[in-house]
Amino acid sequence: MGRWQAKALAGITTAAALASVGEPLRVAVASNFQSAFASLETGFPGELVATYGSSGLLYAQIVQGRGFDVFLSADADRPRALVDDGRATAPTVYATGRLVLVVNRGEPGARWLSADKRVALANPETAPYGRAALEAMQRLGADAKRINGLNVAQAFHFAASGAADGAFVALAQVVAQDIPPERYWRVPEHLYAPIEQVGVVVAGRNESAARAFLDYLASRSARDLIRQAGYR
Amino acid sequence: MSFASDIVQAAWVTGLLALTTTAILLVASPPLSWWIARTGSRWRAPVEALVALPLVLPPTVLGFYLLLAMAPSGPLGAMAQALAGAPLAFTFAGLVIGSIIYSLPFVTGPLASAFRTTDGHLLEAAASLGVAPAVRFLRLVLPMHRKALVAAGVLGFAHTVGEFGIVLMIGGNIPGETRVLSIALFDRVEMLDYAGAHVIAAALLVFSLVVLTFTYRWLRLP
Repeated sequence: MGRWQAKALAGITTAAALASVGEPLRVAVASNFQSAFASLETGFPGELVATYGSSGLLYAQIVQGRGFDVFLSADADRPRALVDDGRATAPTVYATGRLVLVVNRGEPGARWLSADKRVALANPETAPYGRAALEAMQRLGADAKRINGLNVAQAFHFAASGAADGAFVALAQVVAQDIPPERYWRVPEHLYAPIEQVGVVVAGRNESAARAFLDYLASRSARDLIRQAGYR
Repeated sequence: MSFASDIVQAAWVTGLLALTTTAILLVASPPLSWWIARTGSRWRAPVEALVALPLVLPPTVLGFYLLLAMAPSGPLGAMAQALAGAPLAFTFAGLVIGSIIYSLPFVTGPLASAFRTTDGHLLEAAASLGVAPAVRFLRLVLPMHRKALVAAGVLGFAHTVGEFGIVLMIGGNIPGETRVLSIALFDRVEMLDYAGAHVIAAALLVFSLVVLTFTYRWLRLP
């Protein structure tokens, strides 16, 4: 199937799905995708209500029965767990995250990560960008002191406040914050496992509209916006 | 790290933080409370309001400003760098400072209330005998209010154990240094380890209930 056909098909299914649903689509969005989501919203013909949070917290809320129609996770594990439990369907990689090191002073790069530096990262035990950052640091043998934020947003804040010297965050964040290129380093992708962000349709009464939204994310126009926002 | 050693470490940090904070507050609070209880100064209300702020402000507000203050470029951070050559944000010392501010009203408040009930005649008698003000305070006032002192200390300790928002903002969740139990609990929830979360949550709940029960019972004793 060609791109244009796919796009047309996505449009048709979207329209068909929306015709049957009068209410807004409730989307749980991992915090790192916040700025990208804002730019995607306008291109979707239906009304969306987004809730931002860490993937772990959003996952817990879905399990506890909070009504979401779509879950855009920052990782692949939690959507898979939902699918395995029969709580969700149609897992799709909607974005692949890029890890960057943003610094307050000095030249960002592998050499910057010396023992006298304090670098913030998302919690490696709970956040995919944190896990990728820790993996990259270990492969580089970097001995900078690690400060754990809850998620990439807090890691970014730790550095922005000046309290940490730098932070491992998502490329999407430095793009959204207009950070000048000399202040960040794109961590080479061979240093960490790909950060595949998976979206799922949450089981419930809005499944067809939810599926249409995931199809829209796979459309060419949406993919361009996602790429511009700092994903692959 | 295994669940058990993670929890033991977090419990140790929590206990040490609460003990250090309480010890400092029990030295700093009595003079402040005495001043609040006895002064006629027009500065009393503003000072009392400042002390009471953590009662009403979201801890995240305090944490947000404290992080800026503790950054190497902030006033507290610069002072620490100059005096100790070490940063303050994301350190145990930084948490102690945050906890002192956070738990101050829980120690200063009860003490000031107790001090207001001090028998003035006794103090006047001591003063007429030539006993110095500091000695009067240490030898008469404090022993008179030892119950209030213990209660204030217990409240300060328990409140520090229950601290979350400030630690979240200024701690950096470093195992063995700034990861306290409330943060470890949050981590467990994020890791979907609900069994581990239950262990920590139940332990904190039982601890708080037991401490408060003993305090209230003790306060009622004649």
